[in-house]
Amino acid sequence: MNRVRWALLAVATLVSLAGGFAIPHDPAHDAWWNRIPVFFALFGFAGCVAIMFFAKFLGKRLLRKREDYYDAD
Amino acid sequence: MPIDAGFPPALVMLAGALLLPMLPRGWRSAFTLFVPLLALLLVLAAPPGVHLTMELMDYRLVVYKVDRLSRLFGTIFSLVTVIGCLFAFHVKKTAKQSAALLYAAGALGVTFAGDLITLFVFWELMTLPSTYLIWARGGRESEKAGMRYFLFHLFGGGMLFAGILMYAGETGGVLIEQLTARGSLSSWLILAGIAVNAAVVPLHAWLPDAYPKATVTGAVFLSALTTKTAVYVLLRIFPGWEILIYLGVLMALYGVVFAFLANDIREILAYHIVSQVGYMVAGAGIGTEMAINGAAAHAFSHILYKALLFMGAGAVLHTTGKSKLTELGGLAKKQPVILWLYMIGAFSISGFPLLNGFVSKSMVVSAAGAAHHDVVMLLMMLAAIGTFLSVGLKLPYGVWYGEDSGVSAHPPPRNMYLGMAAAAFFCILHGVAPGLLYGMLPYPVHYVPYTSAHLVEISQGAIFTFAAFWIFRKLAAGEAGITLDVDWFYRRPAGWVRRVFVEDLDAAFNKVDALSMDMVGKLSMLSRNPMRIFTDAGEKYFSPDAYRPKIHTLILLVLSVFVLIGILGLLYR
Repeated sequence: MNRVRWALLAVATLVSLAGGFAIPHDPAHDAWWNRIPVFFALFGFAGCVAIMFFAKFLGKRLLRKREDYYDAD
Repeated sequence: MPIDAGFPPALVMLAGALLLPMLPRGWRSAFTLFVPLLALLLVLAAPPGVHLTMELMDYRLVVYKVDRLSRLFGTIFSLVTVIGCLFAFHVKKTAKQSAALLYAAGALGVTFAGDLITLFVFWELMTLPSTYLIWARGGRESEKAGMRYFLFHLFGGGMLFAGILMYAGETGGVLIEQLTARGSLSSWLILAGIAVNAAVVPLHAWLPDAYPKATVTGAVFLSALTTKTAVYVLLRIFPGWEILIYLGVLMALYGVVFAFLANDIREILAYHIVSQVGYMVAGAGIGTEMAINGAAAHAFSHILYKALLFMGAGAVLHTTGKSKLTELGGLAKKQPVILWLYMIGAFSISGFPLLNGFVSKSMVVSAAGAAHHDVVMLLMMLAAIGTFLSVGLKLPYGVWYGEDSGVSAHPPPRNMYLGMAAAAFFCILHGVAPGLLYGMLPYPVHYVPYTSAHLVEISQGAIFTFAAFWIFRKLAAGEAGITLDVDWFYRRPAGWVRRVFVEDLDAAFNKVDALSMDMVGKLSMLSRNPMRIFTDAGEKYFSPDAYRPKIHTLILLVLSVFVLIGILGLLYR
C-alpha cells in the first residue's frame, strides 16, 4: 500500500462515517441498529475480529490437522 | 423435429456432447463455444409454456416447460457454459470438453423439467460428467475425492428418487409443484436429496473436499452448475419452508469460518460457495416474492463472479502449478491482469457498489428485513463481512502480495484472459445497470439498491473490515495442513469400516469356507470309506474284502470255542 492509497482510504473513511450521521436511514425498515450512525463501522470491525479469532480458535483446538491426517492409518 | 424456438436446449447440449468426438480435432474447441451459444439463444427465444411432453407408463412427463424463473436459470447456465468453454478453449482433451457439455445438458434439463421423473433423469446426468471433471485432474488425491463426491451424490440421488416414488404413490402424479405437506416423509426425502446438491450444512462436505481437487477448467463448471440447479429446485418446490431460513444462515456463517481456516485457494472459494448458496437457501426459506427474486438474482450474480474467482484461482494454479497460500505470495508484479480480474470477482462477492453482488445480495438481505427476520438479516451481514475478509483480503494478500515466495509464473493462454474478462464484463454490467438483471426476475421488482443509506452501510462495513484485517493480518496467513469438516465422520472411520466390513468379514468367510470344506471332505470320506473315520489304515475306497477277517482268525475262533466247550464239559461232568 503506497501513500496515495492510504490517503484515499482515509478520505473514504471520513466520508462514509460522516455519511452515517448525515443520511437518515431507510424508514421502511426500522431496526435498532439503524439508530446508531456508525453502527456498520463498529459491526465491520468487531465482526471481522470475531470471525478471525473464532475461526483460529476452532482450528487450533479441533479442526486443523497435518496434511497426511487421513492417510496416517 | 426441426430446431425452432420450442426445441429443448438441454437436448442441444446433449447432442453437442455426443457429436463433439466425431468432429475433426481442430474444430472441437470452437464447437464447445457454438453449442452453449446455440442453447443460450434457444433459451432466450423460447416463449413461456409447455413445449415437449412424453408418456411414460401412466404418467405424463413434461420434458420442456418454460417460465420466467426457469428461463432466468437457463440463461445463466448457458451463459456460464459459454464463458467456461472460452476459458477452457486451450484444453484439447475431448473427454473433458464433452463432459462439460454433458454436465451443462443435465443442468438445463433439470431447469426446464416440468415433472419429477425428467428432473431426476437430468439430475443424475449431471453426476457422472461432474465426477469426471474431478478425476480428470489425475493423481491419487483427485481420484479418492472424486470417488467420495460420486458416492455422496449417489446417496443424495437415492434419497431424491425414493422421495419421488413415494410422492408419486401418494398423489398419483409426478408434475412439479410446490410441496406444502410438512408432515409427509416424501417431501422430506426430496428436500434431503436436493439439499445434498445445494451443499446444505451438514450435507455439504463433498463440495470443499472435491472442488479444490478438480481440473483447473472443470472447477469453473462445478462452481456454477450443481449447487445452483439445486437452488433453483428449492425455489421452485420448497419456497417458504422456514427450516431453510435457518439452514441458509448456518451455511452462510459456516462457510465463512471454514474458508478463513483453509490454505488451498480453491478451498477458500469452495467454502464461499457454501456461504453464498446459504443466502439463496435462506431466500427460498423466506419465500416472499422479494426473497425469491433476491435469491434468483443472487444465483445469477453468484454464478458469474464465482466462475470469475475460480478462473482467477485456476489461472494461478495453471501458471505456477501451486494453489496453497503457504506456497504462494508476491505475484502481483508478475500477473497484474489476473490479479485485477480476480479482484473484480472478489469485490462482487463482497457486495461492493457498481458490481453485481451489490445489487443481488442486498436484495436477499433486505427481503429478510422486510419479512421481519432481523436476526437473520444481521447474521447475513456478518457473513458478508467474513466473505470480504477471506475472498477479498486474505486470499489476494496471500497470493499476490505478502511475502514473495519466489514462485515463477509462466503466462497463461490468452483465452483464459478472455474467459475471465467476459465474466468480469457481466459482473460490472449488472452492477451499473441492475435493471438488466431485475428485468429477468420472476416477479416485478420494487427494490432500489443504490440508496445513500445503503452505500454508507457497505462502505463503513468494508473499510472497518479492512482495518481489522490489517491490524491482525498475521492471523490470516496461510497455515500448512488440512481442516477437518463433517467429512471426518465418513473419512476417519473408513479404515475401521474397511477392517470390520471387508477384512474381518473376509477372514470370517475364509474360516467358514475352510471349515465347511473340511466337513465336506469328511462327509465324502464317509460315503467312500467310513472305516477310515475309525482307523487310519485302509484303502481310499471301501471294499468289503479289505476288512473281511482272514481265514486263520476264523479257524482260531472255532478252535477256541471247541477248547472252551471241552474245558466246560470237564468241569461240570
